[in-house]
Amino acid sequence: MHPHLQRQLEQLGLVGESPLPTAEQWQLLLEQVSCSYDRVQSQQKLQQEDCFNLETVALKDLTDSPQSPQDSPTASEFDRLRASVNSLGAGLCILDAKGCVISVNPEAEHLLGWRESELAGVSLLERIGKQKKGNKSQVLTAPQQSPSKTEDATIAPTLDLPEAIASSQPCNNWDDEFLCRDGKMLPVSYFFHPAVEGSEISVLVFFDIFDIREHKQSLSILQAVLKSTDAGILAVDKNGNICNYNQKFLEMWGLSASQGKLSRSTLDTLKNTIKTGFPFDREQLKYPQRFLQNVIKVLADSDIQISELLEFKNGKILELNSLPSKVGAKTVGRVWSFRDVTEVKKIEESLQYRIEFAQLIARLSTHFISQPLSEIDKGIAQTLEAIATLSGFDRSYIYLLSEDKTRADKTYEWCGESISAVKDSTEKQIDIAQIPWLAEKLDRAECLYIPEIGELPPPAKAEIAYFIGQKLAEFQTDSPSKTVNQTATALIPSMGASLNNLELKKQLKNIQSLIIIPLICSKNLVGFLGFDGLKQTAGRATEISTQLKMVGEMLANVLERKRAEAALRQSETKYRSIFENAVEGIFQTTPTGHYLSANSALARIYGYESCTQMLAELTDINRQLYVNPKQRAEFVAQLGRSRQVSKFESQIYRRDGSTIWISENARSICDENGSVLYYEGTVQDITDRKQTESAMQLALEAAESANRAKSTFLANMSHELRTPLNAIIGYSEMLQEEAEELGSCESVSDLEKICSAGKHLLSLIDDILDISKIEAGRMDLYLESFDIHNLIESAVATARPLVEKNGNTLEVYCPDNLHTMHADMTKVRQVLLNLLSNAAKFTQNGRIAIGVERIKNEQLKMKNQEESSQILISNSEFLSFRVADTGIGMTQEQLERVFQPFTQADASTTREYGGTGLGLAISQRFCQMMGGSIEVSSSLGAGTTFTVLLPSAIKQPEIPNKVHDSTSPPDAPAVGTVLVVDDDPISRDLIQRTLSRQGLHIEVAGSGEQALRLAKQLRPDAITLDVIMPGMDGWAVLSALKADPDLAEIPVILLSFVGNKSLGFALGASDYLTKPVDGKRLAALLNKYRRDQDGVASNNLTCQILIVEDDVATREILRCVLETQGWAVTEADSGRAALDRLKVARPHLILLDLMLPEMDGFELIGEIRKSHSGDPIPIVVITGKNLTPAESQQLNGYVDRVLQKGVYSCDTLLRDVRSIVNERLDRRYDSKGKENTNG
Amino acid sequence: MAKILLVEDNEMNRDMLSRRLARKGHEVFIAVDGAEGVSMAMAKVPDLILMDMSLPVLDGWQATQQIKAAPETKSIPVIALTAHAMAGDREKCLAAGCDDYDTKPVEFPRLLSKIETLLKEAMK
Repeated sequence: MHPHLQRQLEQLGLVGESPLPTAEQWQLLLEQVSCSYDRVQSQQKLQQEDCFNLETVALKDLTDSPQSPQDSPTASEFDRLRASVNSLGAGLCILDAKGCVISVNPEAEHLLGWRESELAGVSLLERIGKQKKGNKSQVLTAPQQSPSKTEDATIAPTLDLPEAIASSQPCNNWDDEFLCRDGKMLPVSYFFHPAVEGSEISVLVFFDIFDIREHKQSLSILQAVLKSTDAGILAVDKNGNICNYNQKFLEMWGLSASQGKLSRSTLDTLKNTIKTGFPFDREQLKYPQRFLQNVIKVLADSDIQISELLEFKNGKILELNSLPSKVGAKTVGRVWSFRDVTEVKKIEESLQYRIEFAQLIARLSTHFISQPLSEIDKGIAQTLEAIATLSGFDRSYIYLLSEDKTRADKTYEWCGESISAVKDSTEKQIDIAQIPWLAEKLDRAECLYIPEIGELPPPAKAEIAYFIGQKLAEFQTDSPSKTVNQTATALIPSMGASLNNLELKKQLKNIQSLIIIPLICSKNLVGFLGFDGLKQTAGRATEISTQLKMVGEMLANVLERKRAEAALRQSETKYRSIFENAVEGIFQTTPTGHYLSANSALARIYGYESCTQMLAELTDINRQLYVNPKQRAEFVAQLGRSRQVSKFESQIYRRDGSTIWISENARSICDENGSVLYYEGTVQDITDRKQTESAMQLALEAAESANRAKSTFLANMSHELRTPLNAIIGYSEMLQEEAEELGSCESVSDLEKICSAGKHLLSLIDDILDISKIEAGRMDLYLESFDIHNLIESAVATARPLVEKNGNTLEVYCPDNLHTMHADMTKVRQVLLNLLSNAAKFTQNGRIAIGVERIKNEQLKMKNQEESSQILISNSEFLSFRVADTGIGMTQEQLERVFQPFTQADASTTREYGGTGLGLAISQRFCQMMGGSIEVSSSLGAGTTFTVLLPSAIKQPEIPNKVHDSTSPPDAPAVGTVLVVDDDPISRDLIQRTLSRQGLHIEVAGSGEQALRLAKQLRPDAITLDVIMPGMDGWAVLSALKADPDLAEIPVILLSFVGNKSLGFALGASDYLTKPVDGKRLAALLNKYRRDQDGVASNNLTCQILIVEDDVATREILRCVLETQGWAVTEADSGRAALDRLKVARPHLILLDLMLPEMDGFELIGEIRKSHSGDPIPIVVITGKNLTPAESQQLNGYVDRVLQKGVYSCDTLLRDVRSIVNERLDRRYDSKGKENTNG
Repeated sequence: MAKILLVEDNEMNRDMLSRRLARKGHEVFIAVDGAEGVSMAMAKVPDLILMDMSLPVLDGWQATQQIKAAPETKSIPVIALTAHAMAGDREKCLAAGCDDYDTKPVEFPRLLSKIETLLKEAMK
């Protein structure tokens, strides 16, 4: 604040804050100041006039007095006057008629700077007025009024002083300047009074008005501020009279004014109303009563400050501040200031609205997220209400589109109070085809805001009418009433209001505005959200379209969630139903063996009354459920391997303790890290099936046993028949020889008959055995490549004597270029011999021919296609063998039965021609087995022709069970199969690897049971059998093998390293370690030996150990470990070195690396065992594990060498295996031929 | 000619075969069971053994194994002579250590040729 102003304010007693904080306060201050000055001025004026009157009288007395100066009363009176003049607070000059100074008082001296003596006799005007500029302009016309009477604030100067002096006219001037002695201009107001009643003396009284002038300037600034401020200001004095106001005030209150001045009538009204305490037109206000209360408060307490927002009916909002204006502590009046805050309030309100809206959305969305499905409907209803209420709509609703999007159903609606009457008028369902315009907008995801439905183009309006179910005519096409309303409201507020209400009532039923927001979920329009307003431009939609869109999205999501959850619940219900009603038991279990869930079917299967009961009682599946305690572990292990198990069969205990069989299908459910969360699967009660199966198994076993019995019977029969036949044939032959020697021809022929009968009986036995084997499917093919020419030759050679016996000739047609065929030679030969012998038998003095040819006819039809289907024919090349005779031939009837067993063409034939009647049956079976056929053509008396067709290369049919054969080369019949039975995987692995390198095919079995199964399946050429095995041991396996006629023939090698089970033991070592050596295991192992050596150790201080290891680093490590364990270590870097050390001193224990230079570990063991056979030194073998391929190769090399050079047991094993297998392979083919030729 | 041990429990066959072998000029020793066969083999050290398989006391397979296990007798050729003529019987006999195999009823010339072959081999 300007210091000058500050000072003035202080003088006025208005000490306020500096600077003032607000415009209002400034305004107020100005008002106060203005008032103060006005007041001061008027007071001053009165004072001056009083003073002047006083002075004039006094001076008159004074000027009169010199006429009688000696008169003492007069003199004293003069003095008194003189004193009063001197003490006067204004400058006073007494002039003569010419305007020369007679006297001045001290105050005048003080103000002008002239001494009385210096001025005396001088024309006053010369001293004080001559240089004044523009003074003339201030000399105005004489005032209309006497200044003394003027109460008005505007005071006009009267005559110019010089003129006044000259004309002896009184004059006054409220704003003039006198020249001071020091040349400064002194602002003054003066009053000049010429001499009264003809007196020569005139008086000039003047005041220093420097301060006042300053005040006036300030005041004019303040007035300008007052005028230019945007606040409406009204200042009244304490009596309620209007002191000041500005144009704005008038405008704000709608008061008429002309040229910034209130019209007289308005002013009067205003004055009156103010005086009566009602200075304002309260009818304009929305809440006049409240304002009235404030006014009353002001009247009651003049010091009160009031702030209020005045809301006008036309929407205008004024901020009212009413403050008392004070001079000092005294209240002198009141300033009412009004500020138009309509816009601010609008903005504020809008802002507030948006905030509220945002908060609402936030609250709703949070609400929806956390809300359960059941609460969603309620939540949506609340949302509709909340948003509509907040936004000023009367109705809100949601339509959801049907699946085919042809119609929309109203699913939610909220109606405000004003609309409840028409609630039912809205259709519940909308046909989308009826609202193409609307639908298109919604499809484009546009929000549709229609502030005035009436202003829409007709088609759209019709759609909306349909949409909201309202008659078209009900919309206002234009709004004359609205204009009227506004005018009326403005002019006659009370009337306008009542009219407005009337209109409102009339419109109440009609929706006039609406906003429709598409509900879009996953880019699909699922429905729409609508808000209807009864009033035009209802609601605040435009301000919040974005937010409404958000609401739309939120609701769409919520609805989608609801839909999804409903679908989920439905499918849950469905699955729950499946789960509950399934025949199969369904479970979820933890890896630790607890149920997470199970269905009632499972409870039923397990014999529980309910699922709950089962879950409560069956708490540890591992131990409670399975009959075999290891079963669950196996289940888990299988799941661990392959994540799922199927048909996992187990015997389990039911609740009552009975056992049933179940089959489980399960899979493990893992989290994203792959760790198992739980298992889930199904359980089937397969007890019935199991029983059936076991019945079947029993039946099968019975059948097998019957079959075995049959085989045994046949074998026994064969044996028992052969034994006496041996004697018969033998003795008859012997006697024949003797008879020949003795020359008794008669007995020779008789003996021949006995011998022949015996041999016939023998062939009969052989044929019967053959046919039974074929029937039992146990006849095997031994396929090989052989020269056809040789085959024919050998067959002809055998048959020739027979042929020639009946006087027949034999013709052979065998081209040279036939080369080889791949078939079972023995069987082909047997077939040909059979045919030739038949031909010979039934032909007398005729011709018998045998011919062979190669046929490449692809269309060759196989008669017995079905039976031969198991044979794979690699090409279409066939060999045709033909045996023709000129014998007795056969009838058609005979031909039909010729291949049936035990049938000859005629029952009499047997008597006449002999034979078993099995030959052709067997031949046919053999041909079929080889993928070929045999055919006969004959007519009675015209001879017979048999044709045999065989593929030139027969492939071995695949034996279905022999799935393990993949490693053996297909066309290498020389590869033998060895079944290695050992429960120790390391031993198994080593034997397997070693034998594989020998060119043998290896199958392994880890248990006796498995061994028997594989033996049956694979029929291996040899079995190596570990004696010590858990469960079924080697001896049991052996006896089972020998008891089975099918398996009895398989040679078995027992690995009887009794008490020692690992490879190390097999090699004659006491123990073994794998590399890299585990320190703990080594220590534990060595401690064992140390305990064993305790007796020795107590005599000697330390135990001696010999490390045989070529690798320096390993040796060092071992030494360190051992020495800390208290062993005395000696080292050897090779087998030789080790033997040298052993010669010097005998250690308590040898630690041996198998892979050594020069002499390897195996050899070394052999040497040590040889030289220390009486009292063996324990040897711990260190073998490599996890070898690199190169190391593996190397180790295999070593193992090879070991086998060749021979550590006893290992070498023996391998030798035995190899030789047995080889022998077996060699003899198999050989024996087949021989066996069959036996017949 | 040769010393042949015939191990055979069937009296008729024993008689027949021994006589027929004798007629061919062989010196024939007789054993009626496996155990006797083993001991006769030890005692007589024949040039060849004809071994029936189904024998009392000790069967032919075991007897053969013992004979083949004993250093004194292991070089003597053994021919299994058996009415067990089913498939696999031959292998069983060979596995037991027999050098050859022939079936009953004996086809004498074939047996003689086998005997001859083995004797020739043993001579080498």
